[in-house]
Order: sequence, then structure tokens, then C-alpha cells
Amino acid sequence: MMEEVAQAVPDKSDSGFSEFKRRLFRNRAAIFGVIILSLMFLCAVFAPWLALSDYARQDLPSMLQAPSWGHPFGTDEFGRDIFSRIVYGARVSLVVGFLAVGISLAIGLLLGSLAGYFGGFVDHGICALIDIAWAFPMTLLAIAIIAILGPSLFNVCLAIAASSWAAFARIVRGQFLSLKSQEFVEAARILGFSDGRIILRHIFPNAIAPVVVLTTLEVPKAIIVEATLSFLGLGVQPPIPSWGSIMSSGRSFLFEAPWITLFPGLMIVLVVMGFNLFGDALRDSLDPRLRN
Amino acid sequence: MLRYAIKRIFLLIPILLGMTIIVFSMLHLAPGDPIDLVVGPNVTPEVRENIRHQYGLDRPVAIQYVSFVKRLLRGDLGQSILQHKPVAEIILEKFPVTLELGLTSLVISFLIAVPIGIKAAVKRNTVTDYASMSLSLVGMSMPTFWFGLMLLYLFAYKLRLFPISGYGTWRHLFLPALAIGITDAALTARMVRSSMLEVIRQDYIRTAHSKGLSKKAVINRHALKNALIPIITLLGLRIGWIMGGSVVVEIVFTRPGLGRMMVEAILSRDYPVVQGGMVVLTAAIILGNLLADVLYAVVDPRIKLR
Repeated sequence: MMEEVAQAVPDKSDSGFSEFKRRLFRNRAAIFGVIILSLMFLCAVFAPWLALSDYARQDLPSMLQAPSWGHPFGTDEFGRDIFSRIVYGARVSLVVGFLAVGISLAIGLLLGSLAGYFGGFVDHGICALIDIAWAFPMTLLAIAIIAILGPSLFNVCLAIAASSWAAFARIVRGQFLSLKSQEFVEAARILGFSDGRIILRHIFPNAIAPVVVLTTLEVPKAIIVEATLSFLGLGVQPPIPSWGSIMSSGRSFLFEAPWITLFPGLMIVLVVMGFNLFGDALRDSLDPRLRN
Repeated sequence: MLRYAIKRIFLLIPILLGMTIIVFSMLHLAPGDPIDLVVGPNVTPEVRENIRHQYGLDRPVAIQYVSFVKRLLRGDLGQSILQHKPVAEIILEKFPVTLELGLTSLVISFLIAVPIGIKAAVKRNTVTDYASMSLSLVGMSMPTFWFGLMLLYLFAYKLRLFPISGYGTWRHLFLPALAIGITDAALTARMVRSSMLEVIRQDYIRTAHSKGLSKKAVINRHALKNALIPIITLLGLRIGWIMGGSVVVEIVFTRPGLGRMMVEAILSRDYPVVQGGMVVLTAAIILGNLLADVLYAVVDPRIKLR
């Protein structure tokens, strides 16, 4: 009898977070994703130590060499070491991925919570904005914005954020709509708390789970769009190596030196896969109802 | 039905207006004086003022916007600065190239995705399911242009099965359509799978099972039809992705389509062409979504009530 009661009362080790952690790390796919992503972060942080040579060092006699022990991923048309360029390129991909999604997150949280909390004509206006942003395909809108702002690392982030904020706004709005009519929000209102405090302290913490999941799934999209823009010559400018710009120069030598294009693309596949695996597992463990 | 379609069309008006505002602002937000794009920097101020007047750039921005929309409604997309031709004429020439690629990719994508998605759902949690979902994960993670480059290297250069570039026959079309189709199928297959899983859980499927129908009959006759309904909406949503994908894939395979036209125009700062391309592509996407929505309501009458 006593034991049953003790079981019914949740103790600290059974808290929501440890349950979440247990579910997340039971998932082998999630662990695989985490390993890929950790390697990627280490790669970006320790780029100067990992790189075999400076990413911009030209060595014309050894141009367009196939992969070998000295150059594991081969060399490009200036004899630059592809492996070193890819290692440095990880920085660009990660910075753009997180900065772009950070900007979209900020815009999406602000507009989504305003629309969901206040409703009425604020909601109508913001929903119209969301619909407009959704009507533009991400890549095309990003290309158009780069056409206006000119290519640079920060502008690439802005261009990606311009279309991906809508996904955040939509999901935050939905959360706010369903949470604002719940009793604990009503209680907070009766206590006389300000709208700002209710939004930030009461609704927000409860709305965060799907936003976290969406973030992990939007970062890889941003990485792909960055690579696409750089491939088109509209992204990060030389001499800074980005995976997209390495492939852009590799395109001219695709048949003589396919490794220039092959390896940066494989890196993107790996990293995007890491984020997707992690994001899927995160969704399953934060909200088991969505599990399929 | 008609009322629902009309309601949907009215809801498009603010979206179309927003789209025109964005496209209109492109020219005005771009750094530098738009006049510099038409004439060199070495002309007298009088000539500049003349041109400014001729293009209506001396009028208030709001009035310029209204006349921009009026011209759009007449199908006038302006003049290309570099090619000295009406933009509408250039686009009319390129649009079929992109449309052909887009539609073929869409067909390839659904031909791959629907059977795989259904098989994975029916054989849930078996090797078949895991294998197809792992493949789909890899497909989803590939940048379309990179996959296109790899196909180009392998099938056009190494195996010499297809031409390396160009436009005209189905052999020119196949590789680019495959590049978009396969990467798109990866995502679509996942959605087909979850839509099918949703249906399998329904009461009427249990009823069909319990009245003694074979598993095959239940899946083919009862589940499949209902699982395909949400896929129609997907069809509309994928159009945007496919159009975006075709922009880069056209560059990879040097196809003379809208995507290549746009990127070249951006690099040479031929803004009227960029604007025209944006208008046509987004209009195509918006119309595609509308079509899918209306089609959805036709096959699923419950939608109209919402």
C-alpha cells in the first residue's frame, strides 16, 4: 500500500525533463544525429587546427589533383586544398543556419504571439502577411532579396529569414490561440497582470516545445538555401569558402575534377541529415502524440 | 462549390496586392538611381531629368505603384534594359521550358512517392518501412542542384546516356526532371506515409477489416482513396518548391528557362526582367495553390463547411 502511494507521487528523478531526455536518447537515430552535429560544431570551432593548409593558399603546380593522402578531398583549379576549404566552410554554413533562423525566430515569435494573443484586426493583418510570405518560394524570394541588397553573408541571412519567419509565426499563433483561453491564463488576467507579463511569463513557456522542434528543422533548410545562393554566385563572396561557393567553382571542372563538387555536397547531406534526425526525434520525445 | 471557389479567389486579392508591392519595391529599394541602369553616368542632368520624366519616376511613389499595377493588369511587364525587348515577350518564350520541367518533375515525384509512402505505412515498423524512410531522409537532405550535378556527371558524362546540356527532346528533359523529382519525392513519400497511417487508424477501416475483407481489399478500396485526399493539397504546395528547384537546376543543365533568365537578370541588374519573372512565378504558385484548394473541396465536401 505504502509503495503504491510512493509510486503515485512523482519524485524528482521522474520530472518532465528527465522523461524527455530518456525518450530522446533511447532513440538511436537521435544519437546518430547528435554525433553528426557535434562533429560539425567541432569542425567549425577548430577549423584552423583541423585544416591541412590555409583555405586561401594557392599552389598552382598541384591544381585539380584527385584525392590523395596529401589532399584527402583533392585540390581545386588554384591548387587549394578542398578538405581545408570544407572545414572552414562549416563555419559559414553554421553561422548562416543559426543567424538566419535566429532572425526568423525573433520575427515569428513577435508577430505570432501578437496575432494569437490579441486576435481581431491585428490577427487579420498578420495572417495576411504570413500568407504573402508563404506565397513566395523560399529560394526565389531569397534570390530576389539578394538582387536588391547585394550578396553578403548577412544579407543571405536576411533573405532566408524573409521567407522562413512565416513558419514560426504560424505555429506560435496557433499555440497562443489554444493557450490563451485556458484557465491558468484567465487566472493570471484576473490577478491583474499586464498583457506583456502574461505573454512572456505564462503563455510563452507553454508554447515553446513546437517552436524548438521547428527551429531544428528550419536550420537545415537555411543551410541548403545558403548553399544554393552561394552556388549561384549570390551568396557569400570569395575568398571566404562556403560549401555552395566551392561547388560553384567545381561546376566548371565537373568532368575533370568531380571531387570539388562531390565532397562539399556530401557534407551538406550529412549535416542536413543530422539536423533532421535530431529534429524528428526531438518532436517525438517532446510530443509523443505526433509520433507516427 | 462555386461559392467556395469565389470565396477563395477573393481571399487571394490581399496576397496578390502584397506580392505586387514587394515586386514593385524591388526597383526602388535597389541601391543607386534606377536611371543609372538605363543610361551611363556621363549624361547631363537635363537628359537624366528627361528620362526620369519619360519613365514616370518623377511622380509620387504611390502613383507610380498604381500605374505599375495597371500595366500589370494589361499584361505589360515593362522593357528589358539589356535586351531592348518587352519583358512579357521574353517570359512567354521561356515559360514553356520551365513549365515542362516542373510538370515532368511533379509526375516523377508522385510516381515514386505515392507507392513508397503507402507501402511504408502498410508495412509500418518493418524493414521495408525503415529502409524507405531512411532513403527518404537522404533524399530530403540533398541540395537539388548538387544531386543534378552528380546525375550529370554519372549519366551524361561517364555513361553517355543523356546529353550534357541543352533543350528540346525528352532526353534533355529527363535528368533535370529526375533531379527535382527524386529530391521532391523524398519529402512527399513521408507525407503520403503519415496520411496513410492516419487513415488506417479510422473506424471505417476497422469495420472493413472486421467484415472479413482481405487486407489488400481494405487498403486498395477503402484506405487508399481517403489517404490520397490530403495529397492533393500537397500537390499545390509542392509547386512552389518545384519552381524554386527548377531555377537552380536550369542553371546546372543550361536550360533556357525562367530560372536561368532570372539569375542572369539579377547578375546583370536588369530589374524589369527580374520583376517580370517574380510576378509570373509567384502568380503560377498562387494559382496552383488555389487549384489544389478547390480540387480538395471537390473530393472532400467537408472542407466547404469550414
